[in-house]
Amino acid sequence: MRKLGLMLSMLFALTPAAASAHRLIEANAAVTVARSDVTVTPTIEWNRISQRPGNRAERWTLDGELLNDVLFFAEVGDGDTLFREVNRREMPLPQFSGNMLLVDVPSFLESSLRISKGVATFEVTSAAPVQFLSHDGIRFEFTTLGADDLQRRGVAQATIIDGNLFMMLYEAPALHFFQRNLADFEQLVASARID
Amino acid sequence: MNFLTKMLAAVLALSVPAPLAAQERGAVRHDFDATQLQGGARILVFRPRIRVGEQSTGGMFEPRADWTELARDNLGTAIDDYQARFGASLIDAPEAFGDEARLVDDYITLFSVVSESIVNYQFFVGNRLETKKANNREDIFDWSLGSGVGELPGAAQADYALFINVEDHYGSTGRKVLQVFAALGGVSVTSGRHAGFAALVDLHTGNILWVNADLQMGGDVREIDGAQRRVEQLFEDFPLLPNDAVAAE
Repeated sequence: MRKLGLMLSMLFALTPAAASAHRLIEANAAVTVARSDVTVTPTIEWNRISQRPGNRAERWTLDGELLNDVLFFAEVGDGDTLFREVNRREMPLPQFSGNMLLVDVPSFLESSLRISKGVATFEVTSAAPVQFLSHDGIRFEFTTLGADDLQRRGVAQATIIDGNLFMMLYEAPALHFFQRNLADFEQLVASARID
Repeated sequence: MNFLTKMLAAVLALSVPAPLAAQERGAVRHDFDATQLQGGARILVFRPRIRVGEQSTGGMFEPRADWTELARDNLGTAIDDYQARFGASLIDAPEAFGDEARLVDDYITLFSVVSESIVNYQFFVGNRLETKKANNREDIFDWSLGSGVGELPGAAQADYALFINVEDHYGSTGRKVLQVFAALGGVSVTSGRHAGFAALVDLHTGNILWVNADLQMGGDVREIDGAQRRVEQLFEDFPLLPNDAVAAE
């Protein structure tokens, strides 16, 4: 009996969670992101991927995260990671620290992406101060070479409010895809508000 | 005990994956008129991207140079045979060097990632993106590699390109054992991956006009017969008619 119970619990653990569908994000309506007080108002339809990439994160895409990946991170506090742990024992994700500076954000993102996405190379190509969510922030662009051998380009905008990190990021293949939807991402960034 | 048996049955029923029949494998772009292809169309065939290796117990891919070499020979011969049936329409893309070779590589890699996304988010019904569901209702198939494909070597002399990508991971013994144990628990663990992607691309727009993409194709590419079978599957429903069919019409 005990054996059966154990087997049952193992089965439940192995059974994939009932696939919750990806959600349609409608155009022209404000929507909160990453379970936070941050809202954005897209002007085109997006898909929200059902599986959250991290506790404080949310992922949107148009054609799949390999082709256009929009990530929202909000209220990332002391000790939080950007993404869900992949292999906590052997490759733990770096943790955010409340006393990090804005200039530390690109390298924090780099080490997080290397582990969570298996990014082989990450290079920051530009960085500049901006206003984001009505606070001083940083905007930086980068290139990556993924585990799939594909060159991608990315852009991120981040700010730290009361020791919490807020960031929006867009990454897409350098060929065709990055340029195709860059303006749509810029529009999301411009529409971002925090209550 | 009776209750437990019922529970067990319920769990097993839940964990059975969606029927394979529900999975689509090919698509044709909504506004593509295949009759344009017949006759004088020139289609560049880019050298296929072929990767063959072993899948570890944990599911990691470990490339094997010897198997890849075998597959390259076998698939090369099978594709040559296939090409011969289409006469002058299917022509080998010119050999590229330096930056041009890199551009070809980059596009073939992009093609493979786009194919993967098509399989995951358009063909796999249970995982379809909401925006793609709307497309499906209106019979729209809209995927593109971008108009930059017009810069590929040979593109100026052709209207279309054929991209082919084959990736085979053969399950290691450990992986197969895991598969059996998981199956006993009613959980599906795939052993091996036999992905084949083929697509006809418009060289002016980069639009994918016809695609055949499947993550579990048949045919062992390490063997001559298997490679032939794989190529037949890759070109199933290819919209260009072979020479003998054109002659018969």
